[in-house]
Amino acid sequence: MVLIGLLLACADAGPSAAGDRVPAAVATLLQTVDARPATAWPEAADVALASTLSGLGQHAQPVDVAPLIPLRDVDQRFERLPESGPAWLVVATARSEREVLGRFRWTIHVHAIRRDAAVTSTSFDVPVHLDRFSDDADEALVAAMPTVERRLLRWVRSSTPSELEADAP
Amino acid sequence: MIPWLAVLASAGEFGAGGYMRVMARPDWMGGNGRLGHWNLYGRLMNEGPYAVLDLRYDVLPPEPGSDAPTSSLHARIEGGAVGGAEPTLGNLAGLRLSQLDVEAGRVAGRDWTFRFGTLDFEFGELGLYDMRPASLMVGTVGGAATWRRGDTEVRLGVGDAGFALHGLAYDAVPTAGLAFRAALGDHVEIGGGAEGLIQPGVPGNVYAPYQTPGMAYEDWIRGTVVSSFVAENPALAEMFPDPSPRDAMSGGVVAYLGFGDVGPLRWSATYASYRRVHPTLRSVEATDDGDVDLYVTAFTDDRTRLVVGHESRLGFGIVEVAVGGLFGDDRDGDNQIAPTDHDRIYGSGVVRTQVALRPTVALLVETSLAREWSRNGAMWREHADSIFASTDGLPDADGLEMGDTDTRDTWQGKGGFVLQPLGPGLWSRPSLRLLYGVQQSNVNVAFGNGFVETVDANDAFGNVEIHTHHLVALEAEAWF
Repeated sequence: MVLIGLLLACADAGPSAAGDRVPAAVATLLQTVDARPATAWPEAADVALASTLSGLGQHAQPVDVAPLIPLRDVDQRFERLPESGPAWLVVATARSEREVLGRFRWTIHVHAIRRDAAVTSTSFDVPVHLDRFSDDADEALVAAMPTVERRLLRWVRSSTPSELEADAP
Repeated sequence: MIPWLAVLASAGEFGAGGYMRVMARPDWMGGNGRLGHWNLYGRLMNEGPYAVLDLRYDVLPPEPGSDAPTSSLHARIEGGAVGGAEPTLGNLAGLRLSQLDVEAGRVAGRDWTFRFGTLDFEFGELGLYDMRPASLMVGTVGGAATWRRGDTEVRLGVGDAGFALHGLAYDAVPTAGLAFRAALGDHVEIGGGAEGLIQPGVPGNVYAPYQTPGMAYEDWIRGTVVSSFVAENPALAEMFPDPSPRDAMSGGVVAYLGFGDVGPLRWSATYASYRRVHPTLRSVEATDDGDVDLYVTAFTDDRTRLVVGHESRLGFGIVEVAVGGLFGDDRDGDNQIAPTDHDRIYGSGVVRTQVALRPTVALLVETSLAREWSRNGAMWREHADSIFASTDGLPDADGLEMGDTDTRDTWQGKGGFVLQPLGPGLWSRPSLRLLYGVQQSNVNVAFGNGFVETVDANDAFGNVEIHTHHLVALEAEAWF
């Protein structure tokens, strides 16, 4: 029983809700490494990102991404977002990799730009392993979201600790 | 090395991924740290450490929004050498460069990809067993063309499996394989394929397939071919017959069916394969005058192997269940007299249940039941004082059977706690596990061990009778 208690005590209880939140314009794009045009994120991934922003004291307000899709440059895309208030552009690039021991490996490359007091950006890779041949970029992104959320949280908290600590639960 | 790889991965043109598992299973009962002999009883606690490092370098990286040609180099290093977790203490000789190839995409149409190098192809995995029955062209080096449009893929490959089959005794084994897979809507996937290998007899090539004429199968099994020849031909003892060349062939077919996303059924996969195993070309018989090479292609060219495996994964809120089954039928058409691993039937069922106690803590319970049956008679010993060489269950110094039973029944139960930093899920990794396992078998000491098996009055250690094996484990497993 002591061991069980220790394990439960060590477990991450997960984020809890914050109080009043600041509206933030959010645009999310998912692209693959071929000629197919970028698309909006699947709903499950958008919901996960909104939850992450909620933990940061922001309320996600989705932006229509259709005008952003023809643009290739991430900075140009970001310039199309509303010019006032916090704004986020998160572009995920999904790439199908070599199967490893029967699992279908994908790499999700995330490039995020956000504007609070200033404009900052980050990028990172998240690997996921799926068990279906026909799983596509949408499924790969959804599978990557738990890690994507954590990486974004860590990025924001490490770059503006004082502002966020005030909003954090 | 890992930080270095991480830097390369973030550079954009390099990528690294892979898999690892490492564990400590101190076995106070005298075993080697594995609950049972093999993963027919479920992979959990029956496997040793293993690591895979998969490396990619993009010569021409693929780009979003572009159908320009791409090219990448792939290398895979894998093996079971891990310092402190196995006998070689992580000696790098236990690792191998198992795959190395170059892929070129969209160079002859947007749907085509060409791969030159190693051609291993897998349809998927039975996660509960760590088995991939539907694999093709494993170890074959050559060229393959893949056509993929949407969720339909066809692959054709040709190459040479000579080194994979024969190593230092290399002889060319031209190989051809074909595979396809497709998704039928959102709930069904199908796949299938075949491969064929032929090793032509080449007179004069010492590594080509031959058969030593005049041998009796039973003499070969007993290791008495030379002595029988001398006994029958006392005047021709120096005239042991030369081998004659013959072709060796092997191959197989595989099939795959996936189904899921219906109610609590998240996904299920069934794999089947039927193979004619490539013949063993030679064996060595020790005689008073030295070793004699025997060429045995005709004695080993009728071995077949059928494997059917299934796995389903179901979710009920915080409870996830994986159910698996495996059936195998190995036959050796040349051998009707001696029990071997080439003449057996085996089957098992595994059920793993995982309950998410917290988002990152789970309770895991797994059970398995297995039966292995030797088609050619007794193969195992049920007790510490069981007979060794036997015939029809009776002691027989000249018997070809072993022990007193042709059936091995095994039950295993495992349970413990799992830490999953990335959240709940049966296959969520990394996974840190604290497990207890128990095995019950009708066979005595049915696990790798350091016990003395001989019944010798001068044996200083004595014999033991163990049918129930307990084991605890601290394990870590990750995909990255």
